[in-house]
Amino acid sequence: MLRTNNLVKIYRTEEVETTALDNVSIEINEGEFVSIMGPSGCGKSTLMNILGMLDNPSGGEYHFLGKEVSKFNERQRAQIRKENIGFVFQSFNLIDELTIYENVELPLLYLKVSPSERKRKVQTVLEIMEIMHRRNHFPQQLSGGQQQRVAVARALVANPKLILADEPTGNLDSSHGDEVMKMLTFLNEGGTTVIMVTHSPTYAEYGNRVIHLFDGKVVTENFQESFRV
Amino acid sequence: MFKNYLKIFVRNLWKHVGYSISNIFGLAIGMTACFLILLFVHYELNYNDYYKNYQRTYKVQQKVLLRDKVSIDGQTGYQLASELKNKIPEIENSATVGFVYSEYLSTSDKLTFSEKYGAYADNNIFKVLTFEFLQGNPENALSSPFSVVISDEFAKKYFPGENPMGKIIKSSKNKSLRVTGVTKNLPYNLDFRPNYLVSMSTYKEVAEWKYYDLLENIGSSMFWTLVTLKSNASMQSVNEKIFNFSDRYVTNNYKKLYLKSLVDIHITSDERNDTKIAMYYISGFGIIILILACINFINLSTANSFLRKKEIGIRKVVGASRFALFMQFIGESLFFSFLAILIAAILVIVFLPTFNNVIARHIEINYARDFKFILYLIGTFLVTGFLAGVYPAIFLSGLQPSHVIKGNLSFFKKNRTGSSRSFLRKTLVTFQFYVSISLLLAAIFVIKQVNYMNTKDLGFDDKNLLICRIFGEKTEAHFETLRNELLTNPNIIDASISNNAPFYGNWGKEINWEGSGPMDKMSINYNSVSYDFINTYKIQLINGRNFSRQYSTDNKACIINETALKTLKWNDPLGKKIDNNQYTIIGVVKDFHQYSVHEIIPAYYMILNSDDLKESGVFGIRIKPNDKDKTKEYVKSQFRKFFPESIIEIVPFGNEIDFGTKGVWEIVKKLFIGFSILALLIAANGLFGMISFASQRRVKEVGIRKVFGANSSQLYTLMSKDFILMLIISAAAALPSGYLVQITTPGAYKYQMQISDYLICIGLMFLTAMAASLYHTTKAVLSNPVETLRYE
Repeated sequence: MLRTNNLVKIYRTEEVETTALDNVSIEINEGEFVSIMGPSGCGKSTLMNILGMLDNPSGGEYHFLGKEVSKFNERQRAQIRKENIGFVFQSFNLIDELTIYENVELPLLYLKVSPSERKRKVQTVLEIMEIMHRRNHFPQQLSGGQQQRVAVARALVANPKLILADEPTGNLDSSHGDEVMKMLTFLNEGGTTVIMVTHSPTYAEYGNRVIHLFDGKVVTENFQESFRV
Repeated sequence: MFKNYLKIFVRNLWKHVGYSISNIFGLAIGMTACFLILLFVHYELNYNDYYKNYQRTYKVQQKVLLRDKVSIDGQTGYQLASELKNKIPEIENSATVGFVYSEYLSTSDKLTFSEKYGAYADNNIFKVLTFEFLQGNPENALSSPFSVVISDEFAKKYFPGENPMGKIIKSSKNKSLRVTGVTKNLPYNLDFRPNYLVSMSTYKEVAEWKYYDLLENIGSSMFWTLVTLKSNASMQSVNEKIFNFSDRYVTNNYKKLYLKSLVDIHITSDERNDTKIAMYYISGFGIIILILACINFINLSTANSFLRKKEIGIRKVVGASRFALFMQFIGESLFFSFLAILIAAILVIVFLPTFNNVIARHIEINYARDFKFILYLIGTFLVTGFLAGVYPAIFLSGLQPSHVIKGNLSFFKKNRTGSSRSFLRKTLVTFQFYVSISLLLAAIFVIKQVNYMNTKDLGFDDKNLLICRIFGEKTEAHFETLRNELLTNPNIIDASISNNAPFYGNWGKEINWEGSGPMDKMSINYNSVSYDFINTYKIQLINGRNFSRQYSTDNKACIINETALKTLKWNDPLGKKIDNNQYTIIGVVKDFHQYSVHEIIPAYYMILNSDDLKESGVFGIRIKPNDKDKTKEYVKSQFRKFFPESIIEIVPFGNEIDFGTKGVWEIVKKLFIGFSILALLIAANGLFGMISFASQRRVKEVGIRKVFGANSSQLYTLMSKDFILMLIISAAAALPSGYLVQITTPGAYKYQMQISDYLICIGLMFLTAMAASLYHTTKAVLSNPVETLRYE
């Protein structure tokens, strides 16, 4: 599904140069559930941003669905992104001024899906995420777990091939965290590829593979099929 | 998608309702002020467009070639109109107009009105200027003597509920005028807007100077000559043809004719740019106010857009293109601007009556009809919306989503773009300061200038002086007898009669002098006065003597003013003769203002003439300051004895007089005061927004400084440092504007700006800035560091 080859990302300010990613080469196949772990500042989020095409690498190659996308411009990246990738963030990132329904509907608007089709799709995911009854509420009126379910709903409403989850359980207590993990597993079982950054070894084990990053480098890759719960 | 944008827009509007209202209203008020000003300027620049052929209608004026200058004479002789039509084929129609100023008209004893403005004309006037007749026939309405054509408004005043046709109106000269036509009311923006038109053949009957219609007097300054050119004629070629036109009638002619278009006469009838400059000032003011309001709008929008960065990030993550975001923010800005323009369109209607009152005009606006004004509104809305939105739109749509989705404000502080944004905002606010201080300086100059004009030494004593005028029958009585009667009252110090008094009437002509060549002429104002004129008005005699009853030769004597003496360049003027050697100079008076303190005092001479109580005379009566009302009553009773049938007008000197400042400059003053306060408020609003934003960003810095021991006054200084620096830069930049306004303001006498005036302006700006910044600065200084540093 995606493959990186010696991916490098360097952040420059006027005086300091920071290497966030240092020759990262990974390959992730369709249908995988990959967890990425590592200490703060090791480059997890940077890697996610590049995989999600929110940012371009400073060097190296990135093949997504067979295309070399690392040199794509913003418009091209936006096009691939909105058709193929859904995002879930630690801080939910819902738009406060839009209702739950409208937040979930947003990706479909940018994909120019017809109104009736939109309605059907949004209702379906809201039902799957069991928050249909809160569809007319605003994000602040929901608990953190509920908000994250909305974020997951938004990520999958356009039926993406890949879901990128950046510490999706980071702001949640354990029961809500478990809930979100079940959702992700459920999606993965339906065929969606999931890449998830986490600090929690327990949640990392939900994945079929764990990639450990340290100082911008991949240090280990563990396949842990046998440990799946 | 549009629905989605609209929802976000409306919900944001609602969420930051205070910000939204201040932003929209700030912009709306700026727009309103600008529109009102532009309406006024448009009104002034489009005078006389009521008449159908106004674009090819001209007034014939004379360039008077004098020894030292060229002056403009807007009036011409009686025969000019018909001669021009006969001899110049390009002229389609022509008409002569004579004016009646200050006349009392009546239909009965009860219905007597003072009419300020009437005219003599014949039927040709209706061929040149298209009056719309409700009754009567423009072909013959003014054919016979003593016929009068009146406006509908005039008819309703004199003949309420009656048909005025054929009815009689009596003039104060006891002439009976028969109504032969009623026209539709004329609009107010006309330079020729008589309340009534009397047939020119009537003038023949009443004229005091019987030679007015001789061809040799074709250049005398008495009438307006109006012409309409044929539609294919060129003004330039007619101008060439008529330049020397009067030469064939007048020997040694020094008055050259030219056409002045009807469109221009309102602004530059005397070929001077005073009014035009005033219009430039005012338009500039209006546009600057709008720019100030726009800058606020831009500042507040950019500041506010920071709160939207999370939304932008999310939209990008879920697939929004940069263009879609750009359009979203431009759209919002346009919508803001649209709301503002709607409010402004309403505010214009609401404030127009007050504005009309202030500027003494009759501006009307009708959105259903004034398509052009609607276009202005739409244009302003689009330009403002786009300009205000384009910067935030470009910036925000270009944000990297990976930077904003973490919800990390500090990104903006580290980022170079962030500091260039704050630089832009500071520049804009500094510019606002600069403009505000400049406007204040201009306002202070204009206020002081107008006050200076209003309180300027007139050269005579205008206090405790009564001015009397008589409208009606001539009398055989003697002025000296009347004067003696008046002087029996101990409260009356002196009295005189003259053809004109300062600011009451003003006659000018061109004269030669002892030793001048055949083409040498000087323009001079003249007056004929009784013995006690100089004493009554307390004019200062600086050389020679006053007229005296002791000298029988004084009826051939004259007294000139200093300016006349300077023009004549005589060391010893006494005994020299002027004006065809008619008058011998016996004295020189100090210059005094005759009709406008705005203009340089013209050369002037007075001769001893009227011992007769002429109806055209002006009586000046010097009284004591005590018991003024009683004295006035006494004066009235004495005049009643001498003029039993006439209308007697007695007013303290200065009532209703235009000292040369009350016209357009009084309006400029009022507008400058109002709008500079507005500018100050707009700048304050902008500063308030900017400081609110800056203090939010610096709350952490303040917290850290507090933890490490900064006290409140140090923090105030820290927070105010920026805007004080901005104030100093802007004040320095604004200093020349005061001088610029001073040198561009027309007029012979100008107020000199003082250091204190500059200090007042800067002080006002400083106080406004302090007041605007106090709230947020205090909030930041008093904030609890435990709270502000918690999230670190």
